[in-house]
Amino acid sequence: MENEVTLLFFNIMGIDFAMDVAPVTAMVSVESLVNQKSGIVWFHEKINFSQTPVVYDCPKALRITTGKKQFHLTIDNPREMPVSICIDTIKQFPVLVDQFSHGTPLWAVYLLKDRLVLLVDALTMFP
Amino acid sequence: MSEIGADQSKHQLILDAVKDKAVKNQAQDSPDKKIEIVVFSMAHRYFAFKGSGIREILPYTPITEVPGCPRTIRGIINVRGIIESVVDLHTLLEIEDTPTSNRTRFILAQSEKILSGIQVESVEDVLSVESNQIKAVISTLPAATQKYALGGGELYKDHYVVLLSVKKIFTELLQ
Repeated sequence: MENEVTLLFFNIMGIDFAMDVAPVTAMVSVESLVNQKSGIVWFHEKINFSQTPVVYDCPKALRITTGKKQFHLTIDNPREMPVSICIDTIKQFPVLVDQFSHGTPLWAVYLLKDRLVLLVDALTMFP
Repeated sequence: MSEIGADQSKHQLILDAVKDKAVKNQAQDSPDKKIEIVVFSMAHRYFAFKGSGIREILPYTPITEVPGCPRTIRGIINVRGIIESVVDLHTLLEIEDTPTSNRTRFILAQSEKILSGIQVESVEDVLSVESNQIKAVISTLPAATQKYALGGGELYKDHYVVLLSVKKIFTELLQ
C-alpha cells in the first residue's frame, strides 16, 4: 500500500474538504457544462450541510472517472495545487461523529496546521 | 438475535441497573464519602459532572462542523493532534444557546470507551462535596434535564446544582 495520498483541497461554506486526486481527470469551469444535461453533481447534493442555502463563491467542476464511468462534481474554492500527504497523518472521526459518517462520502480527517480538513470519497458521489 | 445474544444483553441491562443503583446509594447514603465535582453554568443555571469522568478542561477553540451530524454534536476540535467531538449541551438540555465568550470551555469527558468534549458556558469551580449532600433528582426540573441527571443539591454558593451523568449523555448520542 502506498504511504502517500495526493489531496485536492477545497472549501465550501467555510468548511475545509479534500479528496484524493487519483480519480480526478480534469478541472473545468462550470460554464463549460451548461449544455450538459446529466452527469453533474453539486457537492451539497451529497453532503448534508446544516446551513442552507449553500452558496458557491468560485465553483469549479471536477471530472471524476473510474473505469468507463465518469461524472462532474462541482466544488467550491479549490486550491490550484494538490498536496501529497503521508497516510499516517490521516485521523479517524471520533466515535460520536463516526456513526453519522457511515453511508456518506465523509471518511476521515486531515489536520492541516491548525485546521481540520474533512476527507471525502468522490467515488461514492456518482449521480 | 440469538438466545445467547439476548441473554447477554439482558444480563448487561441487569448489571447496568445494579451498577447505577450502587452509584446512587453511594452518592446518597454514605455520609463520609467525598466526591469531586466540576461545576459549570449554562443559561444562569448550575450543573456539574463527577470529577472522575473528566479528563481535562480546555479553552474554547473554533469547532469544525461535520455535515450530517445532528445538532447535538457541534463538530470536531483538535486536542494536541487528537480529533475529538464536541457535544452541544444547550440542545440536549433544551436550554437557550448563548454566543461563545472568553469564559466558554470544553469539558473533555470520558465514559467507558467514549471520549468527547462538552461545550459549556463557563466552568465555575472544582469542588469536593460530601456524597450525602447530593439528593435525588427533584421532580420540578425540566424533563430534558431530568433525563441526564443523577441528583442535585445546594452545592455551589447556595445555588442548586444538577449533577449530570456523562454516561447518560453519551449513551443518548450513540445511535
